[in-house]
Amino acid sequence: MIKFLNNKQRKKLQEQLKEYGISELPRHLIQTGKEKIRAFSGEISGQDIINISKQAYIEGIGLHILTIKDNQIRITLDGLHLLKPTKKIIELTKQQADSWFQGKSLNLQAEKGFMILKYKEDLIGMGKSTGNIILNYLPKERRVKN
Amino acid sequence: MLQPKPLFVERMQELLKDKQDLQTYLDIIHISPQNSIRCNTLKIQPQALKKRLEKKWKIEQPYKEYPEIMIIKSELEPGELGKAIEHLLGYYYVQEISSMLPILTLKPKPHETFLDLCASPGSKTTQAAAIMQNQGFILANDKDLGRIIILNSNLEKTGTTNQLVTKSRGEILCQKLEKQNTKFDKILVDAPCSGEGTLRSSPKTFIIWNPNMIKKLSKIQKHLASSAIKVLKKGGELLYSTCTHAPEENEEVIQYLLDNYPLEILPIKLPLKCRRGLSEWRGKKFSDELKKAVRIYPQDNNTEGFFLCKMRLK
Repeated sequence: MIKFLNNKQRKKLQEQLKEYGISELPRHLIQTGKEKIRAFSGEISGQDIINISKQAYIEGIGLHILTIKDNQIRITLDGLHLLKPTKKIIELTKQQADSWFQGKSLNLQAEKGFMILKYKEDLIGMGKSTGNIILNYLPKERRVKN
Repeated sequence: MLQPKPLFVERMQELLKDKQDLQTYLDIIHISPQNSIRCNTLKIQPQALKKRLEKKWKIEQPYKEYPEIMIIKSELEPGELGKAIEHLLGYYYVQEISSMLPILTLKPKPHETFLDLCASPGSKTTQAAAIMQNQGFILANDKDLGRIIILNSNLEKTGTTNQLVTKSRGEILCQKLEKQNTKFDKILVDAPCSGEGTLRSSPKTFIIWNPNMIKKLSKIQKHLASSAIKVLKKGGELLYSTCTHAPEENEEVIQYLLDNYPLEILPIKLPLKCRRGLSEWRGKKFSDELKKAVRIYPQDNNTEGFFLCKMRLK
């Protein structure tokens, strides 16, 4: 099921994302399933999408940028590249970044909650900090395979 | 080392009449292709990427007008291109140069509507999204769910936002879209083919190849490309491409389209050596217009083999 977010829903999201220094959201936001929010810049109307969906199975639309679960927002790796957050960023060392790309959680003290990880100029993902550990949410296909 | 079947060599002899040319071809098909990548300009600019990659590899940008195309000249470990942080972050896409040519030829623009009828694994869809700057609209279709999963993964990694992905047989999708009068400015039919052009990267094609398959594929290709024309806007452009040299899958398909639809073939300008389309194959004459189609042979540019034909609906 594809649902365009209305103004009220967008504003709520915008408020929640301010803590990461994100002020601008993509023009169209779409909710697919219960949790996924996707950015869509395709220049067609909602009605056109409905028309196409009547003719073929829609297997994807736009870019998955956020997951909302239990009222908490997790920004995907590609969502970070699109939204360009400026706050709640932890800078990693090379060794930590290497571990992150191997899918390992990091032993690192940080404030609790979701934090953005950066290595040099690259945003490399979002992890959940328990205070002492950053849990790794990097999808398998984006990890270094041994 | 796998060897081409005698019937295949016989056909190639007919295509490459010069003995030296044929020998060069028969030699190069046993050599792995160059390592080429395409900078994903949705995430990073070519010069910035080049600067980063030069810290680990020797990089060449072979075409001035396409700085996003890069060749890695250094010796690489198996899987090294895929493991690099720049790849994991979606800053580049590993893509053979000949496979970049359809989009360089069709040039979908921002704000145009573009249908990629056989889109998986997404090399051309993601390339189109980049040159469209994530504007306009892309309908990326494929019939196979397994391949769509790979397509979606590549669209995510490259940060593509202007696309809808559908699962349908191309012909059926076009029939249905035609009924609701949905039409596109540009269409790519990168048709399923016998893959003769991919022997360098996929030597199993030496074993799979057989002439009956070519006949079957030719029928499918004619049907697929005909369906696509029905959802092309008047004045819109269709790019038909394959990664094979078989004329039955190339010129014969285009001739069929010319015979049945009001199409004109447009000239193609590419920054590498291109050979003209054939005017005859095994007694079958093709329109002179077909000389505007392009054949890419691996020995000419150290790439894989390809066929391209760009048409406009009158």
